[in-house]
Amino acid sequence: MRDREICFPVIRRVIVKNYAIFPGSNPDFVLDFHKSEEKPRQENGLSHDFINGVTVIAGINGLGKTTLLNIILRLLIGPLDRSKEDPNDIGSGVHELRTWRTPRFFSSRVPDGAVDAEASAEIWFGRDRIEVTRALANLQIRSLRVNDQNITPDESQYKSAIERLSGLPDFVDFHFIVRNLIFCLEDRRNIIWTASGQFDLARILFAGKVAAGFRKQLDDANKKDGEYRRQLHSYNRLVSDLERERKRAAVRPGTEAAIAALKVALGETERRTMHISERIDAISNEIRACRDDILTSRLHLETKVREHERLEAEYVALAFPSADTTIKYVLSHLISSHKCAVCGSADSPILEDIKSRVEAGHCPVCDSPPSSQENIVSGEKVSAERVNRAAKELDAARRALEIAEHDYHQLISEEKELSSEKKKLQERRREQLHELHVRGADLPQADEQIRQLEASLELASIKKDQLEDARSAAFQKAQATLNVIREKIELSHSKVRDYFEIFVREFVAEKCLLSMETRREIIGQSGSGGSLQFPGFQVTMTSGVFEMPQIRRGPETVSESQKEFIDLAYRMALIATVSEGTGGAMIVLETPEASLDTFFINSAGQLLRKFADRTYIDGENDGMGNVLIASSNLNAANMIRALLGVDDETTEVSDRVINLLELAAPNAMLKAHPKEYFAELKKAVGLLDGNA
Amino acid sequence: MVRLSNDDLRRRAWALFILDNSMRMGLIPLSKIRFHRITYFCNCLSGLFQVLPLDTTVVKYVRGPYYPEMQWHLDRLVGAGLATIKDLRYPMDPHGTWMDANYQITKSGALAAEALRKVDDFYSINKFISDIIYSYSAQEEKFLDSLAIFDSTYGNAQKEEGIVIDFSEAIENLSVREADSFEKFAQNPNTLSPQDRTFLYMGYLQQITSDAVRKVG
Amino acid sequence: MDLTSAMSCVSNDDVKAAIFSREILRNPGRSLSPSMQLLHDAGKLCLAWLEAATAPMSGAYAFVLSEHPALDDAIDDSKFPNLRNLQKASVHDIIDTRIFVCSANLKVSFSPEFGSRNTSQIISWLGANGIGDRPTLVFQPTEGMILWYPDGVATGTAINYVTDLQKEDVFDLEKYADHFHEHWTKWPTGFGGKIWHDHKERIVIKRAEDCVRDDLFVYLSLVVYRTGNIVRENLMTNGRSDLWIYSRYSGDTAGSAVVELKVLRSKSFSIDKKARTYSDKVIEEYVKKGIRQASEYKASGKAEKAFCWCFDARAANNNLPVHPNAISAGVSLKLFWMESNFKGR
Repeated sequence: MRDREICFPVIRRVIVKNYAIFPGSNPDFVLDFHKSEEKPRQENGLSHDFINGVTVIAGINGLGKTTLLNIILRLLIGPLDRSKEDPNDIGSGVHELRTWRTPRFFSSRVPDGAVDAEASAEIWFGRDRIEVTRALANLQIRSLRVNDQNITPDESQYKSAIERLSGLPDFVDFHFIVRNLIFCLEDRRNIIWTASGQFDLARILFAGKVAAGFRKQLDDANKKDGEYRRQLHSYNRLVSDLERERKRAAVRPGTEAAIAALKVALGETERRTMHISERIDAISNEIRACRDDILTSRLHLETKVREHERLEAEYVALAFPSADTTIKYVLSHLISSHKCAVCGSADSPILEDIKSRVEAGHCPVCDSPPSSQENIVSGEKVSAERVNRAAKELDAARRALEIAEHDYHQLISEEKELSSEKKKLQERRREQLHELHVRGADLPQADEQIRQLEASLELASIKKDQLEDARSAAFQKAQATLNVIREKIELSHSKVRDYFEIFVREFVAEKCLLSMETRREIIGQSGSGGSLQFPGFQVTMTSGVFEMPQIRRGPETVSESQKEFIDLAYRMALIATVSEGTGGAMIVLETPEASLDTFFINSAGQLLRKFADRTYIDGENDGMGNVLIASSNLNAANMIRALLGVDDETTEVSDRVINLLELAAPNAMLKAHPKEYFAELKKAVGLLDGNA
Repeated sequence: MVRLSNDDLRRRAWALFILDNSMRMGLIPLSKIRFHRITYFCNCLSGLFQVLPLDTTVVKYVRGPYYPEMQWHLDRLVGAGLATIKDLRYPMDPHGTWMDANYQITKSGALAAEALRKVDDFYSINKFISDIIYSYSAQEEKFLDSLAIFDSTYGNAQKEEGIVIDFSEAIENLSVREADSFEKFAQNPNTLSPQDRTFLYMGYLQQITSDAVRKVG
Repeated sequence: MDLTSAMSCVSNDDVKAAIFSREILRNPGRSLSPSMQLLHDAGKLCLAWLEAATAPMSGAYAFVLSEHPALDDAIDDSKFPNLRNLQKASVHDIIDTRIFVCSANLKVSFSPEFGSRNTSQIISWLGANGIGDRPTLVFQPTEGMILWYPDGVATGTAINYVTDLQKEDVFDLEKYADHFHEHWTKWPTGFGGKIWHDHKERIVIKRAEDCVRDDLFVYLSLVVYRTGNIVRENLMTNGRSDLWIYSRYSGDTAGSAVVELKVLRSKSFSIDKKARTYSDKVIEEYVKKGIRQASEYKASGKAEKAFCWCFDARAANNNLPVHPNAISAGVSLKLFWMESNFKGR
């Protein structure tokens, strides 16, 4: 695309056909300007050629002013709207177009759904022109000609033609310019009061192709900022997780020491248990051996008992021959074994007595000594030596058994003690194991978690750095572009400022100046490095209170009317700056309904005419022509007069009025008061004396 | 009064039941030797009947299995009038002097045994003792004193005289193992009751005793 | 060679096998009451005698139980001079001794001097000498009969024990069952009385089945002793059969029979004096269970025949629709009604 200066679109002709709102001329409302040339009556629809200067679309409420303005708008931008557009902050939002939000705008206003309705326009860009016809129902292009060449009637062709001829970076920018700069409709989008709006306009108008990629770069910077932010968030979360784990682990040296101590204690317990087990085993063997000893000792004792017993039995038999076997046995057994079979006692107290009785030859029953005995019981004494020997051996055997039994009991009790100690140790071991298990359970998990977190963190860090770099790069790129834009804007800044001053003083009494500023704008939501320096204008103004000009940041800092006019002045300043030497420009204006001060009306009207005539510089026309289309209500008669310059005899009014009373389908109001409205109209256009 | 411990009570009961069942099975009177032989068999083969033995040891004694503690309880039965002692003698043999006698239950003893049998635990003890004695008494008279000597556990040639034979572990109880080994001749091993096994084992002991005696001449 | 070394070489399977085949049939297997022991051992002895006798035996022999022979008041040394061990006594040794007052295992027996062989005279003598109330077995070899007096000859109640049946096919157990019932369990007093807690009220004791089983066991063991063996509570893979009869002790199960026993009762005695009652519906299921068990044991043990014998002690002799089950299961079912009243014989 050839690099050219920006050319604003100027509509020089508009035709509307088959649209019920504009059915055609109503002879009752034709304005008679007594011109030699009669304009041909329009049978169907509306047709108007716009001449340089102001054109007023005059009508009353509900007649179709807004509709007509929208037709003109849509002829230019087609069925597209900005995605996510905020009318109060035109610069915000996405640099993208989507299908228009009100697709039934035109079709819904008429009974037939505008099936056949068509609108055509001649759009001039300097000396180039596009002729486009669109169906009003869906704005589909019916025909398209560029510089008298027919081209494929589709949107993409249209767009590329627009881009080519307008010199604007892309159609989205064109759309932006048209919607926000050129058209100044009811929704009163202010462009000076929003920094982003301001910037976008300035970018488009002054930086042009240089800033072509800026939008994308900005979007990219935004996106990268978002990515970085999210990554940063994850990263930070990992950091805090890791910190938390590490804090927990910091406690670990204590736990580790405790575990180490427990392990030592456990080892000690086990060692002792083993030692005791060995002792118990050894003792068990000893016990078994001891038991065997006892058994054999008992048997040995038994034999010794029987030996001794025999001798005793012999004696008893001699002493007491008629004693039956039981008595003999019980007695002799008692003496030898010390156990009484009659009563079960194992510890007879008279044992010694009986023994000595027997040995001394006493009566075994009554203990009478031989001297008292009738028949000497111990006639044939049992050999004392044999008895003594047997007794000695018996005692020895008994003692051996006693010792064995004593040892046995000692061993048993020792075994018992050891067993109980072993039990305690086993219990302690269980407790220690449990404790170890509980403590140890944390460790490996924590370690593993920390390892995982560290690994994740490393990855996250790398990614974060990558994204940060990408973001910085994107920012840098955007900033670089911004700087270029800034340079460009600065180049034109003085012009804009000068023009602004020219324009604004017509509207605003106070001294109002425009100055350059750099505004830091935060990109995305992150604080660090996430801002760009945007060049912009700011308004300074004196007030009744302050003599020195004060910076007026927002529209609320000025009065309502001031706000409108400042915006308009800025608008015009921009257009004037850009269109210097490149060709005409256009503003489509919906005049405010509010009543205005007469002085201002005249001034405003004058200025607008100046603008339209391009005589704002020293009153000289620079050879180009601007078109200013202003729609106005009839009740603002003075406004129309001022716009048309009725009171200024130099102006030619007849071609400057789109008389909707004539052209639009009458509504109830008009039908009710046709004469009154027509009189108003005539007054407005100077066909009647304003004071008549 | 000195209370009898549970162990003493059991021993006393065994002694009484041995005397009672011996008489019922025609072992009249019961020699001291046979009392101890039977006591040994009851201890040794109790595992077949799921009954707790009194002792799981026996000293390999020159005069055969002998339990001094059981002797004391037998003596007590005599002292209490539940048994009588007859034919008291003190024979001398190469190993020294010994004591021998014959014991027999008295009427009081028979009544005491009758009463004791009615107590649950003692009922099954009596049953098992009667089974052992039934099998024992079924063997030939002349071999009755020798059977225990040829018992697989007691007669184990590897055990020397004077040592304590411990048959508390099943693997050490060769007698029960021998008794169980008759299973292989039965159609269904489960059909061999403990008494069958004891009976067969005693028959087997008699056979080997008889063979051994014949060999010695 | 001394005894000890002689000992060491005799443990071998041949010896054991011989002992097994010789001894196993002698043993009743599980402990019996003294009187049942006497019946078992004396019965078998008589049958052995019958078999071993080279000359025909005649007259009668009586075996009277003495629980404590040495303490037995009835055994007066003067009257009973002959002491014998009957365990191994051959028929020829005792051919002329008619009365044996013996221990349950026959090891010790005291015999009076008594010459008559006549049964009634023997019985009279026993009564006259104070031993008419002891469990007594009377053997009549010529008639081939064993008469069993569980409560003594004085009561007059005897159970005929036809020994010729021993030669019959063991399969014909039904005949034995009939005989057993007729002489053993039918009447409330005497032997059959064992199962009644109160025969008038027809309340049965708890262990009724065990009693019937043990008695039937003894009865059948004498019957089948030569040709086979009988086992109580034979452990099967799927339970325990009440009685199992092997036609041969070792070898396969050919000729075996399984017998399931049930005692049917409407009222059962229990310790807490509250008698449990059973409806006929419950009893019907009980019988069917017995049929099922007999059939299952026959299958698992590979027996030739299965029997289910029910001793009916219900309050009323109502019909039980159980025979179809028995037929389809291949089990021989018999119901034996047990009388409440002693009709006198």
